[in-house]
Amino acid sequence: MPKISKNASVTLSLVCCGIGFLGLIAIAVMLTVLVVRGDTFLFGEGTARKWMALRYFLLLIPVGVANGFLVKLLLLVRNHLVFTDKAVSCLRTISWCCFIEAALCLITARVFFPAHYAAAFVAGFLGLVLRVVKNVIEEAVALKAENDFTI
Amino acid sequence: MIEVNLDVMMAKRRMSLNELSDRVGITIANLSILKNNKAKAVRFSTLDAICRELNCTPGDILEYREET
Repeated sequence: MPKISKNASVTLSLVCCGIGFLGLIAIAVMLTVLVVRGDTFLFGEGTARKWMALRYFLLLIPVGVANGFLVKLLLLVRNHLVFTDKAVSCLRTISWCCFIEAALCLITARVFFPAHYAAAFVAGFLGLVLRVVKNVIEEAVALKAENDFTI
Repeated sequence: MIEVNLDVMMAKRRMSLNELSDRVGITIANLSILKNNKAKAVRFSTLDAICRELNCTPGDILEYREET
C-alpha cells in the first residue's frame, strides 16, 4: 500500500470533501427536478408529495453542515491546530449533525423507506464514534495546555 | 490557590525580566507566564534556577492563598 505524505493526505481529504459537497448539490438539484416533474415513486401523490420532498431536502442539511465542518477541521489540521478548542468544537458539531441525521432518518423511515432504519443506525453510530473521538481530543487539549503552561 | 510572587522578588533584587530570563535560561514569554500566575506547573529545575539567581527559597516565590 503506497504511503502518501501528511500534507498530501490532508489535501486528498479536502478534495474528497469537495466531491462530497458537489454530490450533495447534485442530489439537491436532482430532487428539485423530480419535485418539479411530479415524480410519484419518490414523493408519493397529492399533498403528501410536498412533505416527502421536504423530508428529503431536510436529510441533506445535516450532511452539508457536517461536510462544511469537516473542511474546517481539515484546514485546522493543515495549520497544525489539531489540539485546540476549535477542533473540539468542529467534532462536536459533526457528531451532532450525525445524531440529527439519524433522527431525521428514523422519522422518514417510519413513513417511507424501511432502509432508512439502517441509515439511521449508521449515522447514529458514526455520531457516537465522533463523540468519543471528541472526548479524547478534548482530554488531549487539556493535557497540551498543561504541558504548554509548565515552565 | 498558589500565587507566584516572582515580581516581588525581582523588585527586591532589582532584576529585570530580561536579565532573569538570560540567567535562568528560559524565554521571556515563559517567565511572563510564570510571573502573571498563568502557569499550570513549575519544573523543579526551573524553580531551582530561579531561586539560585534570585538568592531566595521557593517559599519566597510561591505562596498559598485561600480562594475567595
